[in-house]
Amino acid sequence: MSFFGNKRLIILLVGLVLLISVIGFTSRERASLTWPEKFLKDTFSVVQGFFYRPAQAFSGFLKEVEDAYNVYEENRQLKASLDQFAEMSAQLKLLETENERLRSLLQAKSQLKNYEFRVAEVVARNMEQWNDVITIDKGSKNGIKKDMAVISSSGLVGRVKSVANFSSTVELLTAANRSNHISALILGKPELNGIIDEYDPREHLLIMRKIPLGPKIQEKSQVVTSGLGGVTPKGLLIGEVVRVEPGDYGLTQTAYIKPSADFSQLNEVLVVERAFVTTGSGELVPSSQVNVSGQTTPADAGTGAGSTSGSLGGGR
Amino acid sequence: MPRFVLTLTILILFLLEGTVLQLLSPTAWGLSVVTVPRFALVSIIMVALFLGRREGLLYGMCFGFLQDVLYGQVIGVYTLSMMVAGYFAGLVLLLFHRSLAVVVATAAVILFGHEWLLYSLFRLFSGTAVDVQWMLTERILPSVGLNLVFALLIYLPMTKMCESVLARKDRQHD
Repeated sequence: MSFFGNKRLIILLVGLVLLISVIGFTSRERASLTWPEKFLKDTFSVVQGFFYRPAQAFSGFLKEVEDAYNVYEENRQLKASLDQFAEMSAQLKLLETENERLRSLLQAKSQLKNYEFRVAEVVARNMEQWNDVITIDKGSKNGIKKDMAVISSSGLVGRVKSVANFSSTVELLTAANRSNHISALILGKPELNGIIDEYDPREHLLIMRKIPLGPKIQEKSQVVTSGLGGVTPKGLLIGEVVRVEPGDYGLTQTAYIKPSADFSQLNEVLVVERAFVTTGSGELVPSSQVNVSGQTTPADAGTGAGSTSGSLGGGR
Repeated sequence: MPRFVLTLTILILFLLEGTVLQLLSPTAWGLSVVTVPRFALVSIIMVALFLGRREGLLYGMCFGFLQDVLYGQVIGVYTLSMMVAGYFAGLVLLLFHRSLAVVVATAAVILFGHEWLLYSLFRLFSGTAVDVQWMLTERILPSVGLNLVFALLIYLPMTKMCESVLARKDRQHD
């Protein structure tokens, strides 16, 4: 009787049980958010925008003032590189047309490189190592879906972790417990595949594992996304190789990569949507058939497999 | 009304954490240390010291939940840690009288304990190992330092706000 009379103890116990069950329920990888979460996130993203935008404008102004002092030096460097640029772009055009001609000769259809951008503004940032995330002001109503790649002007930044109606949360590459792994490609004479699965916060380097042994990896060679699996398109710049070490069991190599994106100043990011998406069962379907949580809708899945090969050719 | 002002202040501090303060963080200036602003928690510790441990627990729970929903993926970690932080800050009142020194010392201990609790929770549940010593010198101690400076700044305004809440409470009791 005295046990039940102790109201405080009961409340405490019930509260603890509730809390632990909520932790247990949410610690799994969830397909989509519940509506209270969406509501809270949307509301706060609007208010956070009020705070963040003026602050960003101000810090941008300060940066411009600083830049104004370096204009002369910068101008000289830019002029020097502009000559190269004209030459490079002519070469690029040439290669592009040649590539297209050869592709059509081979009747190569898959276009893992096709993608489009959606510009989004950052409204908040959490600096913590555990939840290193930014909030952006575009959500499912703007066509953002879970797991889409997010880039800044200088390189890959992260991927969309959860989507609300008018805002979404982006998990950065620098987060300690990242749940996804990025399949990446080291550009060089033989192109080498590997998986980026960790970030070393002490050295500020990404760690790329499972690179085949044998070919020597040049330092400073560029690393891009490989576009194999998932929704990340091919060819998004991640960074450059800093050093290479033998892998865990001596059967593979491990490369340390300096990310090219600047994570300390993220104002505007681009959310990348690939034209075709690899599903869990290995099919390639147009991304319009994928719902918000990143899964193909059952009705479309059957037709998607049949129609892909037809629509792929006209994908470009 | 005083209670509304107090809650609104903490809410604005919470919003500042994620927005304006990110542009002033040491990483933006090219330093390697990372300071995590926990201004809402600092004000919750003071609320607990002025209005009692139960209020600390409630405010901690609400703002911890908000932090969980907005930035985290597991809901409940910050709810738990900030709730515990608020409650233990209130417990100090049973031992000491309130003064600036006691408030600052409590804030230091609680902030450190909070970061430590978070570190151990995430260390337990996430696979990646982070070196403890590096974590202490580069993350936890700078964060505690920054938040303590903020605690000194906010001490007087917070005192006034909490006292007006108390005065209002007393009037309703009479």
